[in-house]
Amino acid sequence: MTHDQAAPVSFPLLLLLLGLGTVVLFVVALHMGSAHINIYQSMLHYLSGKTTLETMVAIEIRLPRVLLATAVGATLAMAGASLQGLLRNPLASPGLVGISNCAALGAVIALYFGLGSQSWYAVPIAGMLGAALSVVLIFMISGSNSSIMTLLLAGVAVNAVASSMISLALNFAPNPYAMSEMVHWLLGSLANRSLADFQFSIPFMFTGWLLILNSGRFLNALSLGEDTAQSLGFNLAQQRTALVLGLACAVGAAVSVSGSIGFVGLLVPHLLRPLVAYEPSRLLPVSALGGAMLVLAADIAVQLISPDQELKLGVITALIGGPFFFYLIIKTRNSMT
Amino acid sequence: MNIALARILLWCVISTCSISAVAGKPQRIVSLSLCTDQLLLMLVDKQRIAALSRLAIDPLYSHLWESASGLTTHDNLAEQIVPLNPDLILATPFGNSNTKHMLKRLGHTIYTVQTPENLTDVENITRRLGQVLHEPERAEGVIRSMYDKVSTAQQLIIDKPKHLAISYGPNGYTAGKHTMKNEILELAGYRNLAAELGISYFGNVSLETLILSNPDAVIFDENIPNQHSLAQRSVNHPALQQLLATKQHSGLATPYWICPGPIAGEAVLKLAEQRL
Repeated sequence: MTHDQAAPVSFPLLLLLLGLGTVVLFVVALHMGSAHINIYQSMLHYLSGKTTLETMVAIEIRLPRVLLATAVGATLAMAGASLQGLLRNPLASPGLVGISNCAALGAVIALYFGLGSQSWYAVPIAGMLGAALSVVLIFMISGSNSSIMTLLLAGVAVNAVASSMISLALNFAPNPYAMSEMVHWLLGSLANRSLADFQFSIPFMFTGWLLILNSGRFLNALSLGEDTAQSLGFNLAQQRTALVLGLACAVGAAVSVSGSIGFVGLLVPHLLRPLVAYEPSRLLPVSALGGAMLVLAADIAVQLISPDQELKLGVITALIGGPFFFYLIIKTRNSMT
Repeated sequence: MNIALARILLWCVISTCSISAVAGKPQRIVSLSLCTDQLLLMLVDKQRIAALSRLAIDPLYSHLWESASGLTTHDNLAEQIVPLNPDLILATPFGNSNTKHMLKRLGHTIYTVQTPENLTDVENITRRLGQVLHEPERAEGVIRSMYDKVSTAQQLIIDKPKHLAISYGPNGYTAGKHTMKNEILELAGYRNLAAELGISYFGNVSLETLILSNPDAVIFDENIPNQHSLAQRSVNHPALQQLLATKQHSGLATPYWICPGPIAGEAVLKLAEQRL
């Protein structure tokens, strides 16, 4: 752990600070919405079993939105951090390599063609299948140690196919609103989600988190090269499979409720990596908290800008993430060739 | 650049002039949108209709789908419409602008039916269209029957309180002050929540706002069975279901009010019959 000296803050302190930040943003986000309600009072009323209009808004509309923002943000950022470690490629993230869009494609097919109403788990499972398919695809195309260029191009291709398949599926969906919902799936939004959406997706996200966090030591070893990792006793195939399963579970479930919110998985790990002295295993929990903070902040911004939810959450993250992506490309362009 | 602009202007002038120059009774009429489809079906005999839009025969949207069945339909493509050699094309001000432009360029006569916001508008628009179609008596009949239904409805609600209501569709879609839906709600003895929230035309009301506004009645665009979409999810949201458990909520099938027009009479009557 010689890297520790390079980190400007100690790891526990960093976790504590980010955790505090997440809690603060969580509470602030609970106060944001098109209706003005007293959150504390409504929570107290709810706990004492009283149902008022305010508790309905607070518990059934606000709470699921904010809980999902936290969980989805954590998922995307942690997935980004682990992908960057797994592919040993600084520009890997669920959005850029097409995992989010493939998960959205799975969810779209399940939802609009009626599978979702037959069983609650159909939509998240379909999302996970889509995610798993794309991780495997990306891995096959770009390999475990490809150039940034190959990975990005593979991502462009996967994204293009996935987003046009989403459009195609929505075109044929027996539903007049399907077309207008393309925006939701391609940009991401948490408007009008219910507690049920949270309950259905959180078990899968949680399983995914555990699998991803569990491969922290493997990612540490992998950062020294595949041979080193192997000589340290890691079974590469087994570890990779576990990680891919974790990614598919978490990202698939997250995207199936929120649509594909871009750039979280790229931005957060990059910003936080220097703070954990470039250690992949420590980056995972730190990114999760950072991702939760970013999506909560984006949600707050959406509520401030247009409380009637016409602006999609993904617009905000892309506005922040896009310029950052430029910066990353400029920074890494020497290794792009 | 200027020449091109002048040309476009000239086309506009010519095509506008040609509307007033409809000579004789049009016999091969094409309608470009559901709303003009329905007006046409009410005002002329079927043999004078060359084609209607696809939605006209769809029972989920069209109030007159039964009388439209058997007629030719089109998908708003100029290449389907031109071979029919229509002598009059009915259109609404919105949508299909490429098709309308193309048809105008090819020298077809397009009559634009304006969108009404209240019963008086409907009356004027129907009467004017009756003249264009050379069916003034049938137009008067349609207008009369609309007013008859509205006055029957008014009798039904004469001692009912002015409840607060909102028309609510998937995605929180609702209709504000200057819309036919507002007129329909008011004639059925309701106050329109969307109008009171400051929505002028069409807009969205978030679930949060809807629930805190606590309307007496929520009227759904009760339409399509087996809907699976996120839009529909917002209508089925548990918070909304909790609110509705204590309220009157009714539905008015989409065909009654998707098109602002004479069908408004029936819409008002349907709503008045459902009132508590």
